[in-house]
Formats: sequence, structure tokens, C-alpha cells
Amino acid sequence: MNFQDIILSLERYWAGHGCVIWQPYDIETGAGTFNPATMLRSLGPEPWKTAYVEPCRRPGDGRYGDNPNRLQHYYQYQVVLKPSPLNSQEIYLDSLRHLGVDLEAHDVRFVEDDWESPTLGASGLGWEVWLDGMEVTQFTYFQQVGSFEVNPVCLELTYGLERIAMFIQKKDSLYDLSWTDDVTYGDIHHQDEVQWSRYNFEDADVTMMAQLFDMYEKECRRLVKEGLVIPAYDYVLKCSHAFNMLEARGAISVAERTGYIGRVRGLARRCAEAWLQLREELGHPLLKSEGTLAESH
Amino acid sequence: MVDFLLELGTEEIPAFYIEPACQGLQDRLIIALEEAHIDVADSRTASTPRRLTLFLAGLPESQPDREEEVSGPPEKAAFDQQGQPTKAATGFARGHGLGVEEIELRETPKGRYCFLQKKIAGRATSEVLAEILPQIIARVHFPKSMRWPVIGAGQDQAITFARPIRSITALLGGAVVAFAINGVAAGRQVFGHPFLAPEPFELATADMQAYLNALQERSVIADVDTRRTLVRDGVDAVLRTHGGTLKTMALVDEVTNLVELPNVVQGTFDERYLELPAEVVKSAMMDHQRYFPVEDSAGRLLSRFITVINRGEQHATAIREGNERVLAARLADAEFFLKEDRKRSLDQRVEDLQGIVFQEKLGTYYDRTRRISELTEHLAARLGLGGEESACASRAARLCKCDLTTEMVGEFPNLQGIIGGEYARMDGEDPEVATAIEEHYLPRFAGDSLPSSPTGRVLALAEKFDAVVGCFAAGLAPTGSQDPYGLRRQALSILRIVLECGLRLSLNDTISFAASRLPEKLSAEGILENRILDFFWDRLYNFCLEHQHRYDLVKATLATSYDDFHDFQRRLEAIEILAKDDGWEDLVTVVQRTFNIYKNAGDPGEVDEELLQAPEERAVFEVLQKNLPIIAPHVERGEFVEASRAYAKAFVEPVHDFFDKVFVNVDDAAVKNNRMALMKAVNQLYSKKIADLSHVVLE
Repeated sequence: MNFQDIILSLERYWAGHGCVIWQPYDIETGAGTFNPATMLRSLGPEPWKTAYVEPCRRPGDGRYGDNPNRLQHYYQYQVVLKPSPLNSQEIYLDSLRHLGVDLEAHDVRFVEDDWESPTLGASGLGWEVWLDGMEVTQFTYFQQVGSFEVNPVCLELTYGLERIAMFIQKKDSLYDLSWTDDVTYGDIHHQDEVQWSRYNFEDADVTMMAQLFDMYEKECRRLVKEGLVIPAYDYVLKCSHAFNMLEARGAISVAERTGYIGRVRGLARRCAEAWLQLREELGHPLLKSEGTLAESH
Repeated sequence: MVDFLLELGTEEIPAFYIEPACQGLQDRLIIALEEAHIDVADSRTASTPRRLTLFLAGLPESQPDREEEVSGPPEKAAFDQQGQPTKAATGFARGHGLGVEEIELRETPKGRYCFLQKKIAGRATSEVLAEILPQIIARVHFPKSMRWPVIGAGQDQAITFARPIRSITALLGGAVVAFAINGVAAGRQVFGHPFLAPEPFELATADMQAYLNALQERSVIADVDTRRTLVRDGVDAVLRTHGGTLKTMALVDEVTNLVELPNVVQGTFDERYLELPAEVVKSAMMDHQRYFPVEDSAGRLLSRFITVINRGEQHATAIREGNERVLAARLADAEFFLKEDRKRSLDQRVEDLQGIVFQEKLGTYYDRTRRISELTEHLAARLGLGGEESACASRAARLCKCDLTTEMVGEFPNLQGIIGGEYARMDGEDPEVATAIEEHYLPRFAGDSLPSSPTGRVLALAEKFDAVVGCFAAGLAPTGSQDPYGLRRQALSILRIVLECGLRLSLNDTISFAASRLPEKLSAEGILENRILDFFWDRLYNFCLEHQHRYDLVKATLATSYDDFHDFQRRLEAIEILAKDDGWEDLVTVVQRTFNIYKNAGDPGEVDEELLQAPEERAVFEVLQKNLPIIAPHVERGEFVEASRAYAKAFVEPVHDFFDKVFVNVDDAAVKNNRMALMKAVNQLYSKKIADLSHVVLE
């Protein structure tokens, strides 16, 4: 199965389970979790099911296209099921079967990993899912988001698409992955890795990034006060990315790092609070009935 | 008699949570049953990442019937003048379902009262279990617990658990015990291996052997010891074929709790990765992947690894290939980091330490390196290191934190120090310098080894003293439950290095010097140093108790001094020997009685010979004069037993006579004071030099 088919397979599978097939967000994010479809929608009592591809930017992970296993830009496949179903593990495993992975013949393991995002004030308990020793998915039951307790608890599945593709295609280098039958991952992204790595580590304007962080932070706070939480949240993402860029450039000391993270977390909390209030004011429209939890089909 | 079997079917519980949780469940349930008067003859547990199982044998079918005595109204209120029962009496009896004629009258401190013997029928065991099981399960302790959505309404009463509970099997004899947790009702269904035998089966009765057998047929080895043995023996067998043996039992324990059906698989990697430092290769294998490294009989790492899979042998080949690819990727990463790191030597990285903050008030690692270097130089001189060793120690101090700027330590943070040592070797530094860098974090935990060379020890001590003194000064001293900088462990490491390597160090001097290197604006030195000294008192006290020393003897020895740990240890050993002497009580008595006399006096000053009146007084003074030049040399030479015996021989009788005949609290202030001064002199000859025996508890 080439990379493109893997994505299409997952989209079809999760659409079949009643998920809203969302689209990737149009702002730089470090993880699918930051997309408002996860971060904001996981808050409050309204149920929600969504799945989407999310291109992720991790400036510090760049390797100039030299390392066959690490990228500063890669694709996650993100699924959120709220509330988490009784057969959470089974539905996830079936998605792997849907990709053609023989789960009897391969060693699938759920290995303890409690995920945390200090910038989002989010944390959960769950596992890394391994396929023959390779981590392919982060499987998490959110307990807290934006510093608020999540109720009902939702399930987040974050597939590492390249990892799964490496497993399925049995490749040793990311760049050798078949994106389509004629085009490789390297054909598409190798130059990106080279130029972005140079930019992230050597070239990005640090003064500008620091100024942008301050400006985004200010705008975010202003918007929350104005009652515009949805635009405000975009600025949380912008702050987070500016921070990642500053870190990759080596412009932040360990002490300053804690400070920056705290500031982003503070913004995330304000947005979370405002979002909860907004949904309450709207009367929790997606909460059509005090439903009982059912198995997902 | 009937047996009980409980299985909680869960999603994968973290490996280290499983066995303690199972044990806790067993202990708490047995206690709760005993409190309900239901005794358990025998018990057993089993567990895998997906199930916690408890088996209790030989329970009664119900609680025993029992009698309970209830008290009622006083006789006066219960019976009238003619001795006939009143409404109070009939009400009382009826309220307990008995007849008035059953009322007994008895004397109590408050008068004659009515009593009834009530028979309480024992409840069925299944009913008791159904009632207490939810509470017991809710209270199983995990380091971290989670919430998950509950079926139906009932989220409010939902319990937290390590991971979601998805099935419950609870049988008492052949019957299901009816209860539910988080919307999951107990039944008799059991699930085997989720991939190799996904269809559930039903358990007819609470039969542990039948349960274990049925699971084994379905690819689950639920008995922990059996599974652990399979892992251990399997891994060991492979290791032996290459000439090595199993050393990492902790990993065996963890892996045992990561699988339900263990099978051992051997894999290989490209030999070129053996050029990487062995510790890096091992870390890549063990820390994340939980693979076992393979060594030959000479202890050399081979390009092989062992993994334990949760599938049958028939699938081993494909699974091995996948694991090999993962390991190859990690080793390729490590090789990349090595290449990048080697573009600069450790020495070239020293300036970069200015970019890494150690602690907000204590500055960067560059500042810390400077302090460590100065303290290393100071300690090297104090501990009498030779010129070459001193130079090595100083060089090692300069470089010891440089590996924090490397990619390798960024990826493998637990290899701090080890990477530094490797890179130092590659840089062509003196081997002694490299070893000192590698070892300066030792000992890292209880039972870990100590730095092997004098340079390593000096550097290790300097590094730890800077951490302890610095953190105290920055207001980061440990509190009851918080010790984020691990200062207790660091102080303990200091103790071990000093004591086990026989180093003669002055605690006061070292702390003073370390404090003098700190930024000026940190706490006032006097208070700081006392707090650190108290901290070391606690560590040394606990250390001695852990090594089975008597607490009162430890306190006595500490009270005298603990500035030189080695000297402290010798004095403690001495009084432990003396505590077995016949004359021990007499010795202790001298010190205690003399102490008690002057302890509230303030400072009585020196003895004035002119003011001595009674013959017994003068006798004690003469003994004091005569024996000072005998006892002092013993003390100087560390002959504490001899010194003590000489002291006892000299003072026991004269002091006894003194207390017999001489009254200290006379009206004449000068004489009284002089007598106290005399007692103080006698006391302090011992308590200031060997041990303050006023802390000793005589049996």
C-alpha cells in the first residue's frame, strides 16, 4: 500500500465509523492535537467524532535530509472519539487490519506511555502502540485539556503515517517510501527538509520570531476579552510555533523555556475557558440527548 | 466450603503496576472478608497486562450466625410495681423481634437494665462479596489512575483505575457474584489472547487450575512465576550459546509483564554499530525497546539482541525483521549523533555551557563548572592528591559537564558522564581524566559502585557538594516529600564515598569552601552552613540505622562530632565494643551523672584548685590531672577503646565516691560553681572527644 492509499484507507475507515472527516488546519502546528478539532472540541460535554490528516512541523527535529528516520515536517493521522467507546482498542486494531496488517502474525503491543503537552495544559493516560517493536500510534485517553478536566473522557489516536508506511512497505528510509506508484516521499519532501532545516537552525530571524510571539500573545488575550475565542485560539497556535522556531534556533535558555511554555499554557487555558463558556451559552447544540454510551459499529 | 475466583479484564496495565496491584487486591479483600467473619483458607493470584486474577479457597457459604447483645431501658422504666412489663419493655422486645419474656435484667454501673440476646443470621458469602468487591476494587492503588466513560448513567459513581476495566469474572463456587463496576457487570466469561484466541470461553466454577489451563490453551500464561521463568530461562539459554549470562533481572521482570504469551526471538544488527560506545548500543536496546543485549564470554558486545514477543514461534521470522529495522534505525541515529558530536572536542564545548542554565539562582553550567573546579582543587589538596592526580582532577572538572552540550546526551540523557568519558577518550585526554568524568555521577543509586580512582572520587565529591550547598543556598532544600534535585541521594553518595574509601575530609571546611564559591546574593553563610550540617546529621543518622547500628549509640557519637566521617565511624565502633563490656554501665553512669550536674549551669568556667574542700573532690581533681596525659594520646591515635577503658578505670570509683559524699548544691556560690566546673571537666574529657554518653539508653 503506498502512502497515498494508506491515507485514503484511514479516511474511509473512520468515515465508516461516523467520524467527521476534518481537513488539516491552515496554521503551522506541531501535532494534530493542536488543531481546534481536537483541542477545543474535546472540551465540554458535547460528543464529537473526527478524523483528519495533520501535517506537523517540529523545527528542532530537522536533519537536513540526511537522517533516514527523522523529519522536521511529517504527517499524523488524528482521530478523536468523544466519548471514548467501550471497544476503543478493537476499533483501532481494526483500522490496522483495514490497512492490510495481519495482527495475528505481527506483534502488536500496547506499551505504557502517558502523554503530556505542557503548552496545551493537556495530559492523558494510554500507550504507544508498537508493531514489531516500532511505535506507530499514540493511543491516549485524555484526562485534562487546557488545564480543565475532560468530561466525558475522549480517545485520541495519533498515527505516525510515515512509521506505518515504513512498516507496511518494509523500507529503511523515509525518503524511499512510495507516495504513489511513481513518486517517492523523497521526490516530494527531500528538498523541503534541506531548506527548512537550514532555515530552522541557521537562518530564521530570531528577533522577528520573538517579536511575533509577543504580538501574537497580546492579540490572543485581546480577542478572548472581546469574546472572540475562535480567532483567539489561532493565536495560541501561532505562539506555539514561534516558540518552536526560537527553540530550534537555540535562542531560548532552559530558564526562559519554562517561561515561554507557561505563557502559551496560560493562553490555552483562557481559550479553553472561553470555549466552554461559549458552548454553554449556545446550549451545547451537539448534545442532542443524554445518550447512553454505545459501542461504535 | 466454596472457592472464589475474580478476574478483572482490562486494557494493558503498565508493567510495574501489575504485581503490586494484584497483591494489594488480595490483601485487602482477605482482610475485609475476615472483618465480616468470613475466613479464607488459602489464596492465590495470577496476572498479565490484561487481567488481574484472585483466587480464594475454602470460604464458608455464609457468615456464621452470631449473637449480639443489645441493651434497653432501665428496670424501673421497664417493669411496674407489680413486676409487670410496661410499654417500654414490650416496645424494646418487639423492636428486636423478640418476646418480653426473653428480657434479662442485669446490673450495670448505672443500675439494673434490660438486655436481650439477639441472634443474627449470617449473610450469604456471595451477598457480602457483592457488597464489598466494588469498594475493594475502587481502592486498589496505582501510581496513576484514569477515568473513562461509563455505560448508562453512573459516571458520578465511576471509579478510577489504571486502565479501563472491560470485563469482570466473579464466581463463588458455580454461581456468578452479582456486582458491577463502571457499568461492567460480573459474569463467567473469560477472554483469552486477544489476537491468537479472541473468542471468549465460559468458566463453570471457581476453579483456579481449570482457569489457568483454559487460558493456556488460549495462548495466555496467566501464572506470573511460570511466565517469568519462561522469559528468564529463554533469554538465558540464548545468552549462554554466545558465552554470556543473564545480568539484567529488572528487565526480565518488566518484560514478563509486557506479554501474555512469551516467546524469545534473537535478532541481529550491522556490526559497524559496534564501533559506537557499548553503553550507547545497550541503551538503544534496553531503555526504549526492552531488548536484551548479547555479550560473549569476554564481556564484549555482539551484534545481536534478544526480544520477547507476544506471539507464537511460527511468526517469529517476520516479527524479528520488523524489530531489526527498528533497532537499525535507532543505531543509525546514534551513529549520526556521534558523527555530529565528534566535529568538536569536549574542550571546545566548555564555552557552550554558558547557554545551559543549571538553576535560576545558581547560574549556568559554566558557572557550576567553575565552582566544581575550584572545589576539586581544594579537596585535592586537602586529601593529599599528588601533582599528577591533582592535574587530572582539575582537567576532569573542567570537562565533566561538557557532554551536556552533545546530541548524544540529548538523545540518551541517562548516559551523562558516560558519554563525557567516551568522548574524552576519543579526544586523547589522559585515561585518568576520562575515567573520572565517566564516574563522577557515581554512585547513582543504592548499591551502585563508587568512583574507582582518587581523581574520580575527588571530582564526584566536589560535584555533589556543589549541588547540595548550592541548592540549599538557593532555597531548594528538600522538604518532607519533595526533593526534586535529589539532594538526599547526593548527600548519601558523599557519605558512601568518604566512608568506603577511607577519606579524611572535614565536613565543615568543605561546606564552607563550597559556600564561599556561590554568588554573593545567596543566603547568609552562617545559617546556611548550620542547615547543611543538620542535613548531613540526618543522612548519617539514617545511614547508621540502616546498617543496624544502635540508635542511641549513633546519637551519642554524632553529638560529639561528625565533621570527619571516618573518625566518627571509628568512635562509633569503639563504643559498640565497649557496650559489651561489663564496665559499660559504670562508664555511662559517670558521663551521665556528671552531665546532669552541670547541664543547667551555664558556663561554670575552669576549676579553681583553691576552692576544692572535700577529700573526694580533691581526689577527682587529682585523677583528672593525672589521666589527661594518659587518655589524650590514645584519642589522638584513634585508640578509642583503650582511651575509654583508661577513662573508666580512672574515674568510675572517684566519681562514685564524690556523688556519695559531696553535696554540689551548697549555698556558697563559688564552691558550688567550682564543683560544677569539676564535673564538667570530667564529663567533657569523654563527651567532647569520644561520645556523649548522656544519649545512651541503659537497659
